[in-house]
Amino acid sequence: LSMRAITRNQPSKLFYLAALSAVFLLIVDFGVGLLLTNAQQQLIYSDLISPFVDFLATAALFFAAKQSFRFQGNLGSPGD
Amino acid sequence: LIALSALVFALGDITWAILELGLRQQPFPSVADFFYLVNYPLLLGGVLLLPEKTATRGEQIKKVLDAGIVMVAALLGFWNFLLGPLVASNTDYPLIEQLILLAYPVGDLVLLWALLRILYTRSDQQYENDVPAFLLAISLAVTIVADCTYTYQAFVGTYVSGGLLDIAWRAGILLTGLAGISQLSTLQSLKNATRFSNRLASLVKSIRALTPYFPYFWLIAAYVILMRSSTYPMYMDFLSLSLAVGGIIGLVLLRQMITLSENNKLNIELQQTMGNLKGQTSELERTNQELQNEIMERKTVERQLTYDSLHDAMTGLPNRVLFLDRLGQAIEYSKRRTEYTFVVLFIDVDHFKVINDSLGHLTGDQLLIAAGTRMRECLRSSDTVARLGGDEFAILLEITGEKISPSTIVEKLQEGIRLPFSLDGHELHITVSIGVVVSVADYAHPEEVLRDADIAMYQAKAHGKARFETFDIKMRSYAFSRLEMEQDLRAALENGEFQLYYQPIVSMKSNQLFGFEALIRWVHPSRGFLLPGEFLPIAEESGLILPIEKWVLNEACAQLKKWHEKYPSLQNVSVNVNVSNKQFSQPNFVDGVIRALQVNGLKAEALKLEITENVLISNYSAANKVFSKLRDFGIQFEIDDFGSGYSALAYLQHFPISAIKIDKSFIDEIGKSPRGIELIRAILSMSRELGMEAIAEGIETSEQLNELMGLSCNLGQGFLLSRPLDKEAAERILEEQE
Repeated sequence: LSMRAITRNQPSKLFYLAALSAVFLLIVDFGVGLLLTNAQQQLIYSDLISPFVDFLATAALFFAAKQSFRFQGNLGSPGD
Repeated sequence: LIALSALVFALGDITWAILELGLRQQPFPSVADFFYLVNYPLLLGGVLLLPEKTATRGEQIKKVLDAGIVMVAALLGFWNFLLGPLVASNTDYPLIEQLILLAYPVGDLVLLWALLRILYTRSDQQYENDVPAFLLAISLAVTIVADCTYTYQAFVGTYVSGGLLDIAWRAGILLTGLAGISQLSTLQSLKNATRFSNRLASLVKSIRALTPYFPYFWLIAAYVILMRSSTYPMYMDFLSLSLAVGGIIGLVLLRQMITLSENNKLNIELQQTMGNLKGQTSELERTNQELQNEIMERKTVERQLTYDSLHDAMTGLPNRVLFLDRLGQAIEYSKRRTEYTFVVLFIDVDHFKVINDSLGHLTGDQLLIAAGTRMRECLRSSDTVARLGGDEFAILLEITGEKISPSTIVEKLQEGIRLPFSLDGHELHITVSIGVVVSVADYAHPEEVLRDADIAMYQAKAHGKARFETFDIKMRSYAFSRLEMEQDLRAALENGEFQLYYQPIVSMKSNQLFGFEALIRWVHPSRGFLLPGEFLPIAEESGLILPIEKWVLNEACAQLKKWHEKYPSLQNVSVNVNVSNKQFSQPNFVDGVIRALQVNGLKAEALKLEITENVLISNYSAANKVFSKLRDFGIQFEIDDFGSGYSALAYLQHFPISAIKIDKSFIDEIGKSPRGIELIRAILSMSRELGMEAIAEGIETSEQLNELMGLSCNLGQGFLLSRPLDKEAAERILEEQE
């Protein structure tokens, strides 16, 4: 049996947690955007939330990159 | 590099936030633009470094062409709808600002390149569940759309900072982050690697299936732009548009040609493979046919071998192996079915050796074949007739619920066998001795049944042949006793358990000793004193008769020599030694007799050999040579038990017989029947006329003695005159005689 067959239908809890968090964050983002009617408030909110989201993504990517180096693998080659 | 691109993008956002919120400025260009623009090449670099499956040269070229077609078409769209308007509307700005402004749409083209790269390198089945790449591609697509929308909104002046478009950018960066986490879960534990759900997997598969058609979609899009230019003014002139569309068409044609070339190549390879396969198929068919033939031959040989192993080669009848197998089945069946019984007949042809020796082995074999056929004809087809070897046959009669008497079947068989056989101009009459075993529950193995049938057959032989005997348990103990006796006989020779007794042959008138008949006795360690009749038949059957008779001959000669030396005046006393049929027929018989005389230094007249009429009849042709040699040497022959055998009398004319010993049965008739006396008289008269001595055997009464003396019978032997004596007692008689 291949690795792929062994691991079929066993999703990563970490990934789904992150995906749910991302969806939640976007819903909150969208909700706040709707709540803030003032353009200035929207500007401030957007300028603050954007770096926050950027750093979350950056942290995840750097951690993945570190693990990639550790496993001497290459990004995007699952199961190889 | 992808992480680094996210980092510089984050730095750009922080810088912009500081500028916008902290310094309350919205400068263009700014440091934030630097970070935003650096993000694009880093992201492209990261995507280009993603591993991909090793592709053939043709595949690589096609992928490059596909990407080229899309890029040219995208460039066409970007120029006419984004770059062109931007360049046209910002001609008043400084060059650096114009370049930075144009750099964003160009950056989007870079992202599109990265997206195409992911799509084309991940279109194989190998990347079926490549969730990280899929998320990255979605992230790029969202970012490209958001960027293009922003450029358009900025151009038309409808963009509002902090609006939905900002959420789209954040969604793009979050998807990139999720791609990282997906890859992280894959690396951490392959078991827990992220997988698409079935529905999503199906969607991804559908998108992948469209990948080869992307260039055509973009070609159509480019053509639409070209057509639109005819009604609406475009930022690119018609010639350039036509050249661009023509370029795309050229790339598509080139791609088609490569595909066609590859197809032709594949077609040739396919044809070659088909040709090879066809050749291999015909080769396989031929090999298969050869194998089939070989298998058939082997099966035929196997069948023949099986038949040969189970049948007698000469008669074609089942052999011992097959017979025992069927008998074993019969035993098992009889245990399950009470109404089923079986009968085993063990058959031996009487006097077959005589036929074989006299008429030759070929005739003997033909007789066995004919006998086997005759047996089959006498029985039902369901019965098994087998040849066990030599002149032995076995028959298995299976009886189910029928009231058939085994003796009836056996008698019918014997009657059938008694009918003459016509072979090679001879009409042969034979009889058979049959041992019968009727199935009883005691038998577990077929060999036991056959053994008992054999024992019964021997009983039939012993009781006179040409008859049958049904086995009973006593026969077995008798057979074991015989076997034991045979083993004891072998030991007796080695242990010197035999003794010679000497019965005097005397002149009835003068009571003078004429000679002795040497008679063997066996002092058995456990059974005691045994007479010849108790062991000689067994010795004859087992072949031990030859060494025993040799011993008798030598011992008798040696003893007579001692007596001659001790009693010199009795040199004319001779010793009679009985010769069996088997001994007489031995090729070295004459040499053995002469050697016995020479070794002991006896004259030939001192030894007289007693043979029965049967011995002469059985060895008629060989007897001439034997008599001729021994007569030349001076040894005399006497006919023992005269009148009890064939009494063909012709041999008396042909062979040099010195004396006849009148059988005891005639002597016993004295006083009972006048015909008996007349017969003795006739025998005595005949012997006198032929110049032979006559010796009356078995004289037990005075009446017999007187009658014989009255008939002028000179010599006699019997209990009345003297019982057989051991050598000491015999010696006393010699002393008296001297």
